Amino acid sequence: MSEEKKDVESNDEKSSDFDIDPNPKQEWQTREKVMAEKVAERFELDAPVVFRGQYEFTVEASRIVQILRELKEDEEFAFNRLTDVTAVDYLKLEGYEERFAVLYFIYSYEHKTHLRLRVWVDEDDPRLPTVSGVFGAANWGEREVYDMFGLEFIGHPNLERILLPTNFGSFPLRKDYPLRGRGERDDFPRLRRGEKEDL
Amino acid sequence: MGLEDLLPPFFATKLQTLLNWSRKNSLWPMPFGTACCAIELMSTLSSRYDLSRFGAEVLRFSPRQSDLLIVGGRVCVKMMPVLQKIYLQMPEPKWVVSMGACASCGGVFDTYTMIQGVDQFIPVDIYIPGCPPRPENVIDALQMLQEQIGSGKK
Repeated sequence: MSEEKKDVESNDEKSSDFDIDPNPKQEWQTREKVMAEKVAERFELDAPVVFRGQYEFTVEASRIVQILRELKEDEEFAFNRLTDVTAVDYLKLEGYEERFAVLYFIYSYEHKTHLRLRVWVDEDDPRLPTVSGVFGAANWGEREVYDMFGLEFIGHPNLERILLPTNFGSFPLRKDYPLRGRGERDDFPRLRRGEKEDL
Repeated sequence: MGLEDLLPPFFATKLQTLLNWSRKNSLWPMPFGTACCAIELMSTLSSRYDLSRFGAEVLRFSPRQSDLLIVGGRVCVKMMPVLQKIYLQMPEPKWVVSMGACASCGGVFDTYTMIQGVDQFIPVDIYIPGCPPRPENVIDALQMLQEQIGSGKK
């Protein structure tokens, strides 16, 4: 029994993917690395953040549409799928450029590689251009970011709330929004017994 | 059977008592199921527990054809106007059962978009505790409601 247990433990240690070798051995890691190098060279981007073999580039808001369009349409990259658009609020956290960051997760079916792009958004002027003209999938993703964080996507065809009711006044995923809300959940008329329908 | 000979060919009662008796034994529930309570409600209605034994088998998804609103599950800020509209659309007399912890008090979901009890905004007659309640609890609640309707309290 004790020997079996030892075997299991040692296997667990081996299969842990927390420490990824800087010199990749597996095929997918090489693929991601080569693609990231190509992207960095083509668009003259700063060194990416690497975590668990995933690459993330920081891009200025003014360039995001053009970069995404080229990444999608150029056959060398062929990032033809936008997996997700989301945002992060770094309120009062030190060491970050701005309060908000918008993240674009893209994937290439052809080359089987992932990539993540980060755009910093200013707290006082939370606006950035829409990429829904490049990826149709960005339409709802950007609406969700607007709904939850209040970031405005310039040129979006239909920038309305997508999850919350349209008259909801706040942006609940901002870190300064209280968990129990600002009274939105208590703001309804109270119906009485025998009340008639207003036809 | 010969039983007819023993009973008088008529019986005397008050009109209101007759109305209450007929109302309590022909409840038409309207399920407003938004979460797991609705699954338990389905179980209550199906053959093992068989709510129709107690005179409430005709489930209608149309508020105009029902008189018992069973609110089962979480109600969020976006759903509350819908629930109020459904309540207003139901013809009188009508009764409301708040089924489960979420509908009664918000349950564990004490967040910005969850209504902390539907009784804040619509009148509720019976609360069922539980998360979700057992079918027996639902049957018990129905019988309590029938008792109240029959005695003319509601």
